[in-house]
Amino acid sequence: MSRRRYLIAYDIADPKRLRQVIKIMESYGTRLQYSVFLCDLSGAESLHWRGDILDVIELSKDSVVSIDLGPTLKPAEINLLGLPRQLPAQGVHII
Amino acid sequence: MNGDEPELLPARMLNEFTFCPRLFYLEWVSAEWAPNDDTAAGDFDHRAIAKPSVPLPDPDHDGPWPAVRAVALSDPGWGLTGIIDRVDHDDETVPVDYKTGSAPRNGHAWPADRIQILAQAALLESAGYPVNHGELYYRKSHRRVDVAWDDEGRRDLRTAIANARNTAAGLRPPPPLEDSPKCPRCSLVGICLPDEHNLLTARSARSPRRLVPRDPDQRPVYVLEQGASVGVDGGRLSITRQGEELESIRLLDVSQVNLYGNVQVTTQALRQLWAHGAPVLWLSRTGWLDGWSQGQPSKNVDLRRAQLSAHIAGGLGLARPMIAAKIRNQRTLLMRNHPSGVPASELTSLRELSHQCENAQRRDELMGIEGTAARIYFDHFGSLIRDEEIAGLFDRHGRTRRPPTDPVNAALSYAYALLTKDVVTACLGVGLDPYLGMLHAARFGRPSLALDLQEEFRPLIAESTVLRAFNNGEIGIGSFRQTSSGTAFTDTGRRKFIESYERRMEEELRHPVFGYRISYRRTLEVQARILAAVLIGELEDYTAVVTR
Ligand code: SF4
Repeated sequence: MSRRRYLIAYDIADPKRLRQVIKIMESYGTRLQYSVFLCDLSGAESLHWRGDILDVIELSKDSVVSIDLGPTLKPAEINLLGLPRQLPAQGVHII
Repeated sequence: MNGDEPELLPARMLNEFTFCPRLFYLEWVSAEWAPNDDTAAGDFDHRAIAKPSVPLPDPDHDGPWPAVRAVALSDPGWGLTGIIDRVDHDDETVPVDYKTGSAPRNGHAWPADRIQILAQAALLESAGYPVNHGELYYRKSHRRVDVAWDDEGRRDLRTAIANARNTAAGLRPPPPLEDSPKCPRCSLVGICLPDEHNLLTARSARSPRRLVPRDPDQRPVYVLEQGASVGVDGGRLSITRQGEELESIRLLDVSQVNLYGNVQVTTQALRQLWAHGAPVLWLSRTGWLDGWSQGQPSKNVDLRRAQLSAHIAGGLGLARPMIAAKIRNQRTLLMRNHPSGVPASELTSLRELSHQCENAQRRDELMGIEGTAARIYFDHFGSLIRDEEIAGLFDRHGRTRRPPTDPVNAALSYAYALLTKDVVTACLGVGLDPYLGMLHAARFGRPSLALDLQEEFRPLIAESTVLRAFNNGEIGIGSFRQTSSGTAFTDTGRRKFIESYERRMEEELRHPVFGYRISYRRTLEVQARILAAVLIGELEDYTAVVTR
């Protein structure tokens, strides 16, 4: 069940659908930019994500792009300039 | 099950039976279920198909009618029930079933799919529709395969139903397939442990393939912050205090949630966590496990029944290898870590004590052996700690439980508490009742099965975490404070210590029996599964983890 990292970006034409898409994106990933998320997902998780998104978007008006950045153990390198951004982190949480 | 199986057999289960009788038993009789990438792909493909459409017209309806989706039918004559993806109708009525994978190269259907579509044909025919064949549609290869509903089909279906019912009536699951290419893709592989079983029952001499993941994707969440509250926001767990968000975590990443002391959790969060299979555990601030919740308990009732009989019978046979392994692991830990060497005579004693376990006839005898070994072990444990002051304090007191008299004792107790909650979680995941143990008395509110299963891991996980945390300087004398109830961690000390513990859980070991590398975290679950298999009588003996 090894996960892969996806860069996912979207253009949603309608504010109500946009809100729904954001909610879905937040449950699957970490926000990188205004409408760009990084999501570490297993095969099954990425199918669930697709299912959730397809239930919401309108295929003739909206667009969602996902780019596979490779296995989370060795993902494509990400360089940040400017404001700091959080990258998805795996591990134990001690709060 | 003993002749009390349900009247109707789902057509899908006939598919599972033909694929692998053990899979069928685990799913239908033991009610085990686990998703994997393939089942998720199947669900995804069925998203549209599974939506019910208009009802099926009557058999005597004149003329053609449009395709009907997700048709549910039952027939007591055949003893079958099923949902047909699509029913077409022209001159005859045709059940159509969609499959995510590829069609076989020989142009026929996969045997398991063939039986399933035959069952659907039987259901339609019994409902009064004229059926001559069924269709399977394989998405990946875009191939349609016809399956004839003829005398041969009827015969094969009847045989499959009889065999499946026969298997379901058995007291335990059929043995796993041997070295089968089906297993790596089977969603229950982590529950079934096919190669491990075959090795332990000597059906196969091969080393098991590592079909279970080295380490799960999910991780524990610890909430130590007093006054915090755990809720959900969409698909994320949100931990707040006084309206301020302290942390937000994807539910996808959570394996268990540990709430220490005064921490609240919302009902919504509980439900969502249960739905993700993550139990919630309540602990006192000092780490004592007060309780847990996991939504529905496991549906594997046969396992629970078997556990209860073993518990009543005393289960000495199970406890022996656990204690023997613990003593051997204690010995290894001393040998590996002792700076100037433990006297050879002590090491010999430990080895002998470990052997003696095999002959212990009574519970108190076994406990006696365990106690003697513990005395020898803890006599030398202090000298494994580099800080002389801390080691000196421990040597002055020796191993004491309540109250902890010094940092080492406090850290040991805390480490055992962490291990207990993880073994409890492993037991819950497998469907074992953590309270019904073999060796530890199941009383005074102690999760005695979890304490039994913990034995072999105490040196490997708890005590080795304590040694490393002190010797690597992650914790020191300043990580503790004195209270009226003994030595306790400071807040910072406790966090640091949990981090050390979790790091240990992440480490991999080469499994001493199976040979592959998996994390300690995973090993707990594998051992709980093996214990479950012994309890229901699939495996003869419990094989503990012993490191070299
Ligand atoms: S892992 Fe293999 S043996 Fe076990 S249930 Fe699945 S297919 Fe059958």
